[in-house]
Amino acid sequence: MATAREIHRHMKSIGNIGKITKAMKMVAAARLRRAQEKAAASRPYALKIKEVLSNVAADTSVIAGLNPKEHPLLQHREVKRVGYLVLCSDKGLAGAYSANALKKAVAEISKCEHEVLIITSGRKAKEYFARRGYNVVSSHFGFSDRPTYEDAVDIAHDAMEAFASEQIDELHIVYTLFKNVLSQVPTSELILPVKPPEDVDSSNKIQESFIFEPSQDEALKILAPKYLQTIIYAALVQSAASELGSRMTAMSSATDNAGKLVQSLQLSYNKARQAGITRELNEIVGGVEALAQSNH
Amino acid sequence: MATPFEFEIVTPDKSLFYSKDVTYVGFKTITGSMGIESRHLPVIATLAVAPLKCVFADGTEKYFAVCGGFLEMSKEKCTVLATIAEPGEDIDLARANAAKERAETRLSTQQKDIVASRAEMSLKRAIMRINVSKMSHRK
Repeated sequence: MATAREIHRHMKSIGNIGKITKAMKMVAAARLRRAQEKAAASRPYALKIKEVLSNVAADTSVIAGLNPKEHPLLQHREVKRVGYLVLCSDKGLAGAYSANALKKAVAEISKCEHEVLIITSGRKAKEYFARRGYNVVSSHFGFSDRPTYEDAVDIAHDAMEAFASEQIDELHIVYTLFKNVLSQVPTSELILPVKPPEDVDSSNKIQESFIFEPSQDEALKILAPKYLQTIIYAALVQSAASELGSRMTAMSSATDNAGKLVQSLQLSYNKARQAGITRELNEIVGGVEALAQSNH
Repeated sequence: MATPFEFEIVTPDKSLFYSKDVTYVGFKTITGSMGIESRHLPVIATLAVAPLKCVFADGTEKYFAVCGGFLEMSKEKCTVLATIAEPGEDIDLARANAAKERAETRLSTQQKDIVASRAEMSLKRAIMRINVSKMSHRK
């Protein structure tokens, strides 16, 4: 059994770890709230741009008659190489968040029968795929828990370049959908070629005929990349919220565990201390008795 | 008296501006200037890097710096989708001037084509910002 002093030292260090995890939990909680606000604030733009795109693309004859050279993002090709954009965290200590996202990505990739190229966001994803010898074409990091629209623009730029230069014929995105603090769902979606969203309530809505200024063609040329950026931004924001939520729960249970450990250590510390005192008393009493006997 | 309609500017980060009594919106598409009043036919316009002017029912005006994007008008509601947009009063004139100078020096010291086109874009934005800021402060 360890000495009382050793137990005391162990207890202190666990107590300090508990303080750190508690601080991290509170930081994650504050950031999570901000991330959720950001997600809410970005929704109107995303919804509107979807609506505009579906309006622009409502006339399918126009889409069919497009010059593929001028609209590289809408081009459907025979699939030879598939790109995966994997969104993950920069830092650990977020429970199973990174592991789950990467597991989902690997499951998707192993299902794919074509050559696979990977674009990563977040240090963890980069390290994971680079170490396992995957073909990582570009990686972005440093913003996983507070992404800005510019970050999405950068990623979209790389993705569009790869797609336009026929490096990849399809692009899937793997990100983590934030449901609530306790549940985050790794999700995979096809994002390139850009598929105009189908209007959900188009059947009961009278199709408005828009005037396009200057033309539908021009609008699509600018709209398609913007739409891609918006999708990537939305995924980044979702992933950031998931990361923070996951970190918050992980740190919260770490704090609880530290507390429990300190409690049980306190118990064995008290026992060890008491045992020491008893032993010392025994020695004194024994000594006194021995002395008394020798005096007789 | 022109009837007012709803007008909103949304950027990826937030809804920048919303008003219910706008009577006129003037802006520039990539091919030329345009204006919208109430009961305009549904339109989707591709915007240029240019100032956007809106006139309220009480006759006051407000200017915005809009760096490209879209404008949609339908059902008495006009929505501007822009990656970057700022109201005229919020523009930091000193920063815009500095950006303008920086872009100009970059353009004069001929570098690679890609850098030149980027400098041109930022020059365009800086000039537009300065103009919008001046327009907003003129009254």
